[in-house]
Amino acid sequence: MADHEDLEFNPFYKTLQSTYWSRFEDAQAKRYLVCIPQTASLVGVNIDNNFLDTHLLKPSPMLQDHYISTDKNGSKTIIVDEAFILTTEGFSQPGRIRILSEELGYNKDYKPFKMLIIEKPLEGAVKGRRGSAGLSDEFLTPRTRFLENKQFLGMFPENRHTVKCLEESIHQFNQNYMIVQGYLKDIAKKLRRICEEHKQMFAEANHYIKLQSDGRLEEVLSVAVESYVMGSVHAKVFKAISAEKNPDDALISDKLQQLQGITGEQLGVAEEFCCPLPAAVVELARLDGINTPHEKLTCLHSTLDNITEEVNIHLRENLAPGHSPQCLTSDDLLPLLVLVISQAKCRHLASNLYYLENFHWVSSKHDNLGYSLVTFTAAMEYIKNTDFSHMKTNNNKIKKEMSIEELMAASKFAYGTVSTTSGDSTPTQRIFDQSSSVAPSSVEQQSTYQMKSLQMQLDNISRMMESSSISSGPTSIFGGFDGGSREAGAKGPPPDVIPASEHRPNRAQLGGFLAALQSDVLDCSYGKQD
Amino acid sequence: MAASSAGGKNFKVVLLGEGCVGKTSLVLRYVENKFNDKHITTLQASFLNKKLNIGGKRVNLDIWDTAGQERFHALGPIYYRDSNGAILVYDITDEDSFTKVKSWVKELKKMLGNDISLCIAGNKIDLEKQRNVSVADAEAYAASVGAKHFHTSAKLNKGIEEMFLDLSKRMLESTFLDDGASSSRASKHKSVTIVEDAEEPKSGGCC
Repeated sequence: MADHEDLEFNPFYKTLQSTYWSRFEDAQAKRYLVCIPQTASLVGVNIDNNFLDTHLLKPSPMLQDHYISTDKNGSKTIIVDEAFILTTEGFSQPGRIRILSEELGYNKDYKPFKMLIIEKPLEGAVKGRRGSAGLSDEFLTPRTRFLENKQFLGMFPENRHTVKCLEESIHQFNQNYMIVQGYLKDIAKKLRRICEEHKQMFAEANHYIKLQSDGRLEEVLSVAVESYVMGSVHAKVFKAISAEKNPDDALISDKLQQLQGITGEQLGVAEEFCCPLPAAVVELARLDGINTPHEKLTCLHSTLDNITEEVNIHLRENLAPGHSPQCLTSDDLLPLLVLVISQAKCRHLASNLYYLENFHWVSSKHDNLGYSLVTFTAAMEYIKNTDFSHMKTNNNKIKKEMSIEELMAASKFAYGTVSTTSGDSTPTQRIFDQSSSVAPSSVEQQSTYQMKSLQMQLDNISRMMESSSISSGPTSIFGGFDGGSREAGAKGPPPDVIPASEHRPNRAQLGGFLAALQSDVLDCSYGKQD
Repeated sequence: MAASSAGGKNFKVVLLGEGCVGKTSLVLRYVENKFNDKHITTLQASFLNKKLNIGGKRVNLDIWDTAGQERFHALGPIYYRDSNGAILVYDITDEDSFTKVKSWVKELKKMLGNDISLCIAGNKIDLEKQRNVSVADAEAYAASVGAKHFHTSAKLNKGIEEMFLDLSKRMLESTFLDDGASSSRASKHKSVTIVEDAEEPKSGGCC
């Protein structure tokens, strides 16, 4: 996915690679400093030889970190001062421009030269944040959900006819296409053709695509068409996949049963990485309720992100002073993911992965989403081929559902966020303050993450509840917490303090905690209400 | 193999090495953005990305950390599939980690043949005094399998950029060769898309 600092979409970089290629080549050969203002800052900026003179700079022969413009007289001088560029001589007024990032550049002879992405042009006004066809970066980001994609396709009046055609094709498929077992690849071929043909029709009729000089709008369109088609035929297609992949799904379900109650340590996760991962579990639990491949894949990706974030927070909380936290690598990520899969009770994991492998055509297999799919595939293979039954012997405590500790951690996220955002220092907040040995900046990041995480969880939970009331498909991971436990947790005040570093509360704390479930910020009790 | 985008080439590079050889620090050191603190905090070590410009061409490296523990051995091929390059890291003070590198090389060769460009990194050269893998042996082995050997130190930031540059160079070269002979290769690999697109659609499926 494109981030707006990606040079591929940068008008100045693109000009260097086309119109001014010879100047760029010369600058590379002479190993000049190339300053590239970020895309958003280049709206309405006229990129000409003068602009190039100022932004391709030669190192000063006299002074380190000083660079001189490449106009005839070398009239301008800048200084690279750590994370800033200072414009000094020759500029209408002295300025200080932030360096956003550096890209490694090598010339034809593989000699390095510097390319700095900077906040704005060294000279000239900045008018606003717009893409090349006048579309904002937000607009040029692929939509995730089915409805968003449907809305997106309906946005362009010139594409109305195509939308109609597409609806007709989908209708025909749903009504007339007969699925024969064993011919899943044929269905994929058929649907892929529908997507590609209609995407082509969209692109030809659309007014903006011609104006947008980079491929982002086209990418958004591809995602939208695929999501619309696949979301609309999902019920029919996924049923066929599930029927065919049923043996695999059943095998995995059995293995997931074996995995109940097994801990990260037992699966060989390094001790420091073992912690409850409620946000990841909640995220993954919604997989069966999603109907488009793109959103499913995004869900897998955010599950992995949540694992990483939750482990990072855990590591920072338990960090000995003077040590920097370790990084989570695939060797530990994989078994943690196995645990998350078992807790999220993915009933159709094999079907879902097959669906993503064969019915999703728009994203690269190399990128972060591709990596997520491969990691899940690896975890699934590991689950299928490993016998977990012997691991249980060490552990008598069998977890029926998401454990209390994990829910504690989930509500810890919630309370952490609430008290942080409300601004007054509640007891919970004070405990957080006291117990955290991390730098203020990381506390900030932590709370931002917690806020994000809470919002995501709320979102997910409400969506899960919605979808579980519509379809019989997904099973709520909180299913086990209705009935008895709800009675036990009659209305009462929320717990005063939830220890930040303790994930194994005593039984005695249970009452208070469960009470919190009733009156906590989620404003609904966990589990289905019958 | 290598996907091309409008601006350049995308390469998938798998990273292999035992837990303690420092492969993570090595690659983190390479991708770090000293101008942007945010970058570091959102970092996860299992999937990383780095963009380079070589001779005006953009090269996008997607660096995949691979589960390297013995118990995940069978999962290797899931990760290696479609990779253009591999970096195999060993710790110069640990002979076993070098033996492990040899077994990965064999496996990668078996699976991907010569389609993959290999780099072997002898890491932790800051601990030269405790070296247990001889330079001559390591270099001779690398040469014998068509890999390039590099002496690296994540701690001192030595040899890392050179290694990735060399790997990128070789991957670029092999894509140019590929482009020339793409038609013959298309059938060799499971390039489902190309083969299938050529077929005439069956209208209405089975009905």
